[in-house]
Amino acid sequence: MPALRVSGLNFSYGAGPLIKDLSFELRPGDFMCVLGPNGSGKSTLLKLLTGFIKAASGSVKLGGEEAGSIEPERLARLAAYVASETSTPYDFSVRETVLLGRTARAGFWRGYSGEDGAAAALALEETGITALADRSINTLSTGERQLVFIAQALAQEASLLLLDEPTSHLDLKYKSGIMGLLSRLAGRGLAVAAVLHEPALARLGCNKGLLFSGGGAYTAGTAAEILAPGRLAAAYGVSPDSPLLPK
Amino acid sequence: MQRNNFLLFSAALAAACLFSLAAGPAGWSNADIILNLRLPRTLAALAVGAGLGLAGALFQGVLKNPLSDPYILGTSSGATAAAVFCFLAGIERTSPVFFLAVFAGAFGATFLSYWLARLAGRLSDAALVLAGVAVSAFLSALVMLTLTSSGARSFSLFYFVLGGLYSVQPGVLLVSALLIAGAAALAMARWRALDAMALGSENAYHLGISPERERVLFFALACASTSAAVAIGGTIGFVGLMTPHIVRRFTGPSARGLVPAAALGGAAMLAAADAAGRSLFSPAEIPAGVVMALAGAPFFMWLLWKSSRGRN
Amino acid sequence: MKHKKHIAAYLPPVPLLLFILLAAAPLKAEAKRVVSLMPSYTEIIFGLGAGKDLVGVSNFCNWPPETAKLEKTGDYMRPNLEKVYSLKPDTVFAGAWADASSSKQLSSMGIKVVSLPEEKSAAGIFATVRLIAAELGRKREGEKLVRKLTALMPVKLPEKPLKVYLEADTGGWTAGGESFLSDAVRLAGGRNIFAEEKRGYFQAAWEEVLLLDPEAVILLSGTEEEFLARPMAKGLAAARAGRIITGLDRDAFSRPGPRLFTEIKKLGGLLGVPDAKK
Repeated sequence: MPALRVSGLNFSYGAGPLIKDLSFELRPGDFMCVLGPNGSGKSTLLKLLTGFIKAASGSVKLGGEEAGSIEPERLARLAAYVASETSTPYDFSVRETVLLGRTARAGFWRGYSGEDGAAAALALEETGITALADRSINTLSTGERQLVFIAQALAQEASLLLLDEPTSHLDLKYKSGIMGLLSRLAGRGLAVAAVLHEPALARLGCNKGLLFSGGGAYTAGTAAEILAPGRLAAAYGVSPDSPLLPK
Repeated sequence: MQRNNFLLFSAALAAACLFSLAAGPAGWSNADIILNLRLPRTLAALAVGAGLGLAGALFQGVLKNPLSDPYILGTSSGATAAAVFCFLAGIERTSPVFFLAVFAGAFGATFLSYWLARLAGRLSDAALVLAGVAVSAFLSALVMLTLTSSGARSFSLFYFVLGGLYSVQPGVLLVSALLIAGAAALAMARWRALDAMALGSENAYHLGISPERERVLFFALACASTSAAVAIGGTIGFVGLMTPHIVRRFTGPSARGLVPAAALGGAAMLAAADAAGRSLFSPAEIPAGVVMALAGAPFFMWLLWKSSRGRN
Repeated sequence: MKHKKHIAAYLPPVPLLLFILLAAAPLKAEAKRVVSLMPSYTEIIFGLGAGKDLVGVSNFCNWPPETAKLEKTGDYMRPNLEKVYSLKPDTVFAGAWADASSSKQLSSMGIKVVSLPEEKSAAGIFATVRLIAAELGRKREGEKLVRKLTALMPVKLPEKPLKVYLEADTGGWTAGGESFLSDAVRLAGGRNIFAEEKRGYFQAAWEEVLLLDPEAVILLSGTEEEFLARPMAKGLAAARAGRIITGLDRDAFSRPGPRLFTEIKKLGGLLGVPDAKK
């Protein structure tokens, strides 16, 4: 059973169609990269998948159920989402922030159980930030912050992981580190989809790809298919021998 | 809440209550005065302080704005407008009708802000605050206009706006206290939702919260708490804004410790301020709100200075 | 023709008489245009019989009924300067409450502003009466008014006056020794429990009032029921003796004008001062 099945999804912000008749599938173990120029609908797609934005028409099925009909609490146990940016007006510690990932499982009022603590510890370990656990989140670098929110999503113990530009503000070490982590997670049976700005990163573990070209047009297929230079050049509007495209 | 913090806050509360019961020109020997006069007044100060502290903490969490106070969505102007209406209609400050009117005014103004923001199609935090500012400004202007054209001199109204606990009737005090206690209990039972909201509605949604529902719920709780407090104590300033900031230095930002601490801290501070106001300047009485601002603001600045030194 | 004086003998004093008459006439027929910015001054001016000299009064001047027909110039703290100017007054009576800049501006517009000091006692009120009377050229009427008002007060004050708590606004707002209200209570035969306080108007702690146990309570606003509903109010000497006085006219008693003295006489009677009942 596919972790995620999208059929005939349609959405527009008003001017023209942004997502048009989109259909694809994601199975446990898949690591899909979502590529495309700015404004082509990549981030919007992720929000449509979790139901944060409502689609005009079409169906999104999470684990066989319509995403729109699942309450947020249960949804959070099925799918985890990492936003590209989160504002943190108050000085929560890293541990507190990661533990908030257990909200859907812990409810609103009781304290954190041993199970919650263990899941959080595991998430911290997998993202490699255990040493930062007691630091205030506002004292971290951008890369470290990003890792905290990935850890938070991991603590949810969901089977689908969606990430919006997880590597955007990070240096090369973090970029490759995160791609490696996501690839390992997919290897363990999670279904992962990540919006990426750099097609080259997709080489670091993605087996599937979704390329938006704008105006609702898209190509879905294996990573190798999507990463064909000619296709990428057309979508991004750059020359096929641009050094930015993966060879 | 950590044990140390719990002990600290309980001690502070106990000290404030003791001070409030012992302070006054009659000294400590008159049991009648302590029981029949100072005790109800102390209870009123505790209820109002707790209500305002709680509301401040809730608004600061839900609006993600550390500068929020309980009156941010127009609550105080709504209450004052209702009070003016009552004074002009001859309704006594101590009558239950006054209490109901002020409660309705406070709650109504907040509801109006929310409804205006919704009407404009923008329920973002910034839009809500702006709507609150607009409602506040409008109602305040209406109050000014009414006062200048009616020509009625009303120290009672001036005193209401300043905020004070001069003569609180036990009946309405009980109602207020129950409302505030109920709001506190409900808020504390949802502390994790409030923490999640602090990360933004997008993040909160994906953690498993329904941001819209939680926001409306917390607004309603904060609003009820504020309205109940204002209906008996007038628009006392400072408590709602500063208490969460002061206790946050001890409990950290998580609502689990912050919400109960803000309620306890607000109660303790207002009880102490009220006691100081009615005993240090005998025979005159300085309203609790004035004492709070005079003493509280420097205290908070000291706290800020001390913590920044600690960091460096 | 020794016993028949010629008519011409009478002529010389006539021009002198005529001159005197003509010179004196403007003093009597001089029509003053007066603006009063305080209700108490308005009442005093009417009490001096000079009501027709008034061309403008403050918004709060509501006594006597003739004031309804007079032009209103705004409140006493910030009068509408343009309105005052347009009434072309000769004299403007402003009080201690008035904004200093208003007085300066009016003076600079060529209008005579008479700033009267705040009245802190009955003597102060009489001084105001005399000052206003002098300004209006009615010194005799001024003295007459002072005598009339003095006559309203009980002459013989009791040796042990009743302790009185005067609440001017609900919420404990009372008068200290520096207020004419406190003096009014004294002249009526009572003693303000806060008479030693060196303040004018302030809010007294309820506990303090309870401790001082007044024998009479004057409420200028608020009802007896509301007062008795306060904690431990029923135990006050005043409550037990049934001396919660709400019958005084609030406007009359709280303005330092002629009507205050009628209320003082009334209060004296309510406090049981024998001299006041005459």
